[in-house]
Amino acid sequence: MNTNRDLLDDAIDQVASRMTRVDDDAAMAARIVAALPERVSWFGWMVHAWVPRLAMIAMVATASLLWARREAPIDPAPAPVPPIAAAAPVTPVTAPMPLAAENAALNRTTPLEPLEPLEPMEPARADFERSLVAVAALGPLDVESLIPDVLPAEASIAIAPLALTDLPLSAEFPVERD
Amino acid sequence: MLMAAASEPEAANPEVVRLVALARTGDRSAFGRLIEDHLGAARRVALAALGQPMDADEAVQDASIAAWTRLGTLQDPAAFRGWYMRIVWRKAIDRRRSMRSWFDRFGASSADDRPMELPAADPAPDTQLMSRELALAIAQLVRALPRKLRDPFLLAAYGDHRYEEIALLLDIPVGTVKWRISEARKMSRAKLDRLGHGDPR
Repeated sequence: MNTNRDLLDDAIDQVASRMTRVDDDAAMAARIVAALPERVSWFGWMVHAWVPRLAMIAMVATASLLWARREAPIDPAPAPVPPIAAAAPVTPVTAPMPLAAENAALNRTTPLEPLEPLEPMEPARADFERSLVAVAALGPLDVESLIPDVLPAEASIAIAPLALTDLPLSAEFPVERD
Repeated sequence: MLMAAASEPEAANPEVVRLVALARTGDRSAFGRLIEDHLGAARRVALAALGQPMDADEAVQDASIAAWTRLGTLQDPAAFRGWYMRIVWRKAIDRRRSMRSWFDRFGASSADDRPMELPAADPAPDTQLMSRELALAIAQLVRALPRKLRDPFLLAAYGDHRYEEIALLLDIPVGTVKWRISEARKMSRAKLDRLGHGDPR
């Protein structure tokens, strides 16, 4: 039994060995050498391997930086000034302000300088001299002038008599259509 | 008995170190000599993974070109053989996976199911004792083994590699390599018994 088992094991090993046997191919090494690509130096290999990755990383980092530092959109550019208006002398209404400073003032969410605390207003110290002028007292109404007996008699009211005519039946009216 | 080599560590070969140094400077002939010294073992490694000599040779060629381009990353020139064999094995496994996925996609039989090319009978006396029918039966059984068992079994079959090298190739412990080889043989023997090949004579 053991002899048969050993022989079977030997047979299995022999077949396994034959399954991985290769024929001699003397020209294979020469073929491989002929197919070798141009060799790049270690530095060149590093450059070829890492330059695309570094470029991609730099692009992502730049985009992230720009996105983080982005500003609010500036007002759209003003409409082009017609030549006549452009030729007219422009008188500045207010003092000119640099655009950047103006935008900064518009977009400012925190005060540039710390605010001073307001002083509490005291009623006793109200400045009446600079307050509004006091409203004058209203005059009394002359109620006696409105009594009917006092009204002038000649100013009677004349009402003209009403003239009533036969009105047509509603069915005889032409119906207006849209 | 399988012919896996003994487990003594490989001594640094000064000729290999010199050839690696020359090849790093771009010397193609030095690289050719390096490849030539290990070409037989490399082709057997690829054949163990792929089962077909043509596929194995293509994998070896791809691996050799990859080794040429990555030779600068080899830290220990004396370890060229193991480094080169790992590249060959990886290329062969990549090819096996791509072939399997291709066959799976288009409905043909996979590479594992293709008929195996068994070399002609060895004229050695011990081989002549085994019938052709039994050899084919054993070959089919080995091909039908699970890949986890078949890979270390075939890698150890020719005696090119120590168990430690096989463990490095497969990225598994040495004990696992030995167990899988033993298990592969045991499974093949059991199937042969069921097929009525209990007596190999």
